[in-house]
Amino acid sequence: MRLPDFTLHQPRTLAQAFAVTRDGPFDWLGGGTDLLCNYKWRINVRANVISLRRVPELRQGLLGAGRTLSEVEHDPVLRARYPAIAQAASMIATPLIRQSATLGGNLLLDTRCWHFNQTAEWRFAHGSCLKAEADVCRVLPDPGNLCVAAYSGDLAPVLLAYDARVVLAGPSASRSLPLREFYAADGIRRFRDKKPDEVLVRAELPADAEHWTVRYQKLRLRQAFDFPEGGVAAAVRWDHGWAADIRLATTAYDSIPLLHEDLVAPHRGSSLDDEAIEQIAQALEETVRPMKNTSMSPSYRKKMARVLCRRALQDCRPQGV
Amino acid sequence: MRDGSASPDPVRMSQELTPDTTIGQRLPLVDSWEKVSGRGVYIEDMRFPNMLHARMVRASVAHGLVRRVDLGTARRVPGFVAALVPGERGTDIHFGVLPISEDETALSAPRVLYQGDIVAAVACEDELAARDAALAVRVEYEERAPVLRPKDALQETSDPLHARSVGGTNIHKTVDQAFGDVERAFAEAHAQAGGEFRFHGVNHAFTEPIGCIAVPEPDGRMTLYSATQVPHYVHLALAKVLEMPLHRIRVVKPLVGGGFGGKSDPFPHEMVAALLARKTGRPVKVIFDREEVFLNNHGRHPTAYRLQVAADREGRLTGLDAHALIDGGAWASFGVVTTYYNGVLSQGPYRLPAFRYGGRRVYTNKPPSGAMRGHGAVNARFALETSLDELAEQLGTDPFDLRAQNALPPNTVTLNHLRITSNGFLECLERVRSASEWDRKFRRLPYGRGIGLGCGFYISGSALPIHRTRTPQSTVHVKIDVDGGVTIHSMAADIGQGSDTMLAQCVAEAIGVRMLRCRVLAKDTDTAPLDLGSYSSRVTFMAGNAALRAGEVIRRKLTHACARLTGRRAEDFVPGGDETYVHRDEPSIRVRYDDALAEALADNGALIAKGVYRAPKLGGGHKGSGAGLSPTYSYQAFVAELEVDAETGFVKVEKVWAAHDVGKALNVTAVEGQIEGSIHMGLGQALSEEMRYGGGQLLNGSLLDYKIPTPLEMPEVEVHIVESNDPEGPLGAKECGEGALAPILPAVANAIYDAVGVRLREVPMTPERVLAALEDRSRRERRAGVAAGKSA
Ligand SMILES: Cc1cc2nc3c(=O)[nH]c(=O)nc-3n(C[C@H](O)[C@H](O)[C@H](O)COP(=O)(O)OP(=O)(O)OC[C@H]3O[C@@H](n4cnc5c(N)ncnc54)[C@H](O)[C@@H]3O)c2cc1C
Repeated sequence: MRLPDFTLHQPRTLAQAFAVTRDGPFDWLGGGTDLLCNYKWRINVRANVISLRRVPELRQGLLGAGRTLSEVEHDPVLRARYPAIAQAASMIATPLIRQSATLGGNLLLDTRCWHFNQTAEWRFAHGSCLKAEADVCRVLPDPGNLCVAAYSGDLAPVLLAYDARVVLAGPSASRSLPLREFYAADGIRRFRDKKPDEVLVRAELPADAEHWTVRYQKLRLRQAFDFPEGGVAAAVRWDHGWAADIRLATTAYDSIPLLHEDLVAPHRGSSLDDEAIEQIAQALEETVRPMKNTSMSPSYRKKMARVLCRRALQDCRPQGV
Repeated sequence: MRDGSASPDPVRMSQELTPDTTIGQRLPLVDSWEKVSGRGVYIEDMRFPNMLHARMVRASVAHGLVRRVDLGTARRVPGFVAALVPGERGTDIHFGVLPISEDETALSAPRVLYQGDIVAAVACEDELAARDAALAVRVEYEERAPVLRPKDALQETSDPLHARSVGGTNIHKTVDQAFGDVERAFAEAHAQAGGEFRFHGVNHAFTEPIGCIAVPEPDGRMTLYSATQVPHYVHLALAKVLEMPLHRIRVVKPLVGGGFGGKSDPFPHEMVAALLARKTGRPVKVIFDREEVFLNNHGRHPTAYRLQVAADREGRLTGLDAHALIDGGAWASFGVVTTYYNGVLSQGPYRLPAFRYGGRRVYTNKPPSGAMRGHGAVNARFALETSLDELAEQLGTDPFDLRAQNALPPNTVTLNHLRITSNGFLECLERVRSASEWDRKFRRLPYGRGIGLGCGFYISGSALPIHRTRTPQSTVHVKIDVDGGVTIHSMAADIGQGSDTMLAQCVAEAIGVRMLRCRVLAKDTDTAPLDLGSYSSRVTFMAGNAALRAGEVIRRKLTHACARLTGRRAEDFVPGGDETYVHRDEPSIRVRYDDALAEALADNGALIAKGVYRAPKLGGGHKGSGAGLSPTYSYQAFVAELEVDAETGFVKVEKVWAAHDVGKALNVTAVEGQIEGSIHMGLGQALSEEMRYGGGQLLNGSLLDYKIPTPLEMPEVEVHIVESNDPEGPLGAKECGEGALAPILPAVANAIYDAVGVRLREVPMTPERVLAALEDRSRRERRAGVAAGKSA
């Protein structure tokens, strides 16, 4: 299948990149493994595509937005100090796709839905949907004008579990904000206040990140290719055998990756024994509301939230416990 | 000297292979170098001057009448050249792979039968323009209620989808067969097992998307280059649709990137390309994208299967009762054969004194089903082999023992008159039983880990040709000229399975020269003699025999030359290694191939020879007795060992031991490749692949959403090649490319039962279904208050 026509811009600096944004409708391009697939299916195609591959700022830092997932997966520092990030990256798509896919594109991955990620012919036969050419939702009769397409990135829950920040650069200013304040619960708008001409430069981990044990569990039919049908990242900061602090984040269960503070709050300071883990896992199962818009059924995905959560938390316990 | 074509007896040389033989060795396929180096030419690589690109306009409704096709803005798309719309000449001429059920037309009008059916087509200067123009075509439909569920298709209707369905319903084909006293078998049964099974549709998902190029030649002929398994049937269909004599049409098959039955029908897009080429006078290319491949489908039929099998106190099988409701989708395709195969191929590898089968294939408003690797046998085999597992448990026998006890002997005839000759089934059973350490593991592994057995039986070439002609099913020509190279012409379609390599091996063996001398030209109907194509696992058996016979004729010409050069008798010269012929009693008398050839060419010119194969007359006289007849059959026994995650329902198949009676492995690497590939494909259907629909709309027509197992899902496979040396097979060989698929599905299901104690009867056995079965079992156990069988 061929790509549609568009103009590809390949700026070498952020300033050049921002200059092109004034030319009309555009999309940023990382590795293109998400965007260009949608383009091939004639989904929300824009006239200008601005590649960020040649902008050096994005390749700087441990979590530069322009680093490929393959680099992230094999980075010795990440593997030694923040293994969950390297591990989650290694579970994304396929080895070949990870050669082009970027960390930035992964965090900004478009939301996905069975009624949306389809060819133009399919969508037109179907009547299309909110997120593409029509104004109805095919998943919920009345979604309240919010799109319920699933956010399906694998790195976001892990970075949320680390309480990472993201650094954005725009034509006039740069800023940094917690990742937990970045996304919006709407599959179309997707971000709270990110402006279209802002670029993700990198993610940053908090100073205490190394004191956390973070583990990620991903639900998918096949061990490669498949987007998460559910993903749970758990993080525990151990203090002499006590779970001094706990975080739990999910992906693929909603149009936004979510941090579940209140589910873990009662167990802070506990020993995080099997019973505590089961309580959290059960609470998570009751909390998540998967939609009928991906490959696996919502009821199964919901049940699996508990298993994923239990396993992620158990994995966080020190070896041998 | 005898002409090869007159030779009634099969050529069999397995005991006396030539000194330089390649038979039974490991060889790379002859086309692997061009493929791995990227130089191989597929349809997508081919370009012709002035070539147009066509794109199909596909129905957006599952069922309806086309009221109007409005090209509208399509004409204004830059690069638009022509369109083909309903009503144009040739677009409504019926064709189809089986002459008894030709129900397809180039364009589906006035009635569209599934969402994706081809209504019109556009031809433009480039692919992008064609896509834009096709999207711009507006079609108005008068929508009709679609028939989506097979059971609805059984009902009488005032508006059947096809004119020629059974008795005012949407039933396409009915088969009812009974042999022996089935009622009594069940009335007197000591034990019986079975149930209702459900199989979702699967697609071949070959790598190379479907495509073709129609080229109108200056002399008024039409050439079609097409990625097809059946150049001959495409040839026939084109002649019909173009209303041209066969000799004015040429079909060329370039490299084909996989077929698995999905390229074994003449297709509407091939007719569309030819009609557009005729209309524009320019070459027209069609390349499907992946979604179109899924919509074109012709994959394995979704099927509801009901089966009961009975046994007496001694564990002898006494009866089999099977019923299939088969979802054919929009067209007939190979469906008549499918309907028979779902029953008749269950008559082996076990001896059955009573057998009843009822099959209904129905039309529905979904993408057409057709032939797919293991055609007609896979779903039925699952039902039978899992029921046998259950039966063994009831009888308190080991599943291996039950099967061995009931194995068909060699050289016998089944109830439905299938002639059984070579049969390595017992050896297959023995080999995997010991290799897998079955006796140590079966019912003894910890909860969550299991081992299971599945067996199989498959035709090695359909004995009855589709068209009732007296033409041989395979003909092979061999030519040798002054360069000494051996040119092999055949229309056997190499689709990646390695038939070109097989032809080269057979001819080289028969002549007694190195395979490197051979070049196979198996692609062009203008030059190659007739072969029916690559389906029904027929090519090695039929074209292989024809190739051997052609090679034999050449060798006799060469040994006669030896005789002239040495003054000895021609019959005494045999291949002596290093491309020489040696006198069998006086080994010092040797003639080099080059010298023999020079002598043979003198005054004569190029050596040419022909070999043919025609299946012997087989079968009984009952209705439908032709179905399932084959000159021989292959046998399989597979064991799978796996792990079930009882919390998630995930199944991880860890190892498969696969024994297959291939008659004789001509090329060990190719045989192993076929078996491993079949297992990969079968595991897809077993665990994850499924065409899913929302109403009549296919939901997962992409390789992301249609879940083919990746290498990470692939278990280690240990292939056990069993050689029963078939008396009629070429050098003893028989099929190995299709029969190897079916056994893996029941092997997995039976292993799941061994692991966690639940029987799955819906395929694919996805994690969700496995988990649902486990939950169901716990609910039942809780209700019964007892823990039956194996539990955690
Ligand atoms: C077969 C297949 C399987 C996949 N499986 C998975 C999976 O399992 N898990 C998963 O998480 N993903 C998966 N993906 C999606 C994708 O490959 C990855 O998420 C990848 O990391 C996206 O990165 P990219 O650089 O290719 O993104 P792109 O396609 O280049 O961009 C994605 C989006 O982010 C925007 N963007 C990119 N970089 C920036 C930036 N620096 N600043 C602002 N906006 C930016 C783009 O405009 C676009 O909207 C899969 C894709 C395919 C084709």
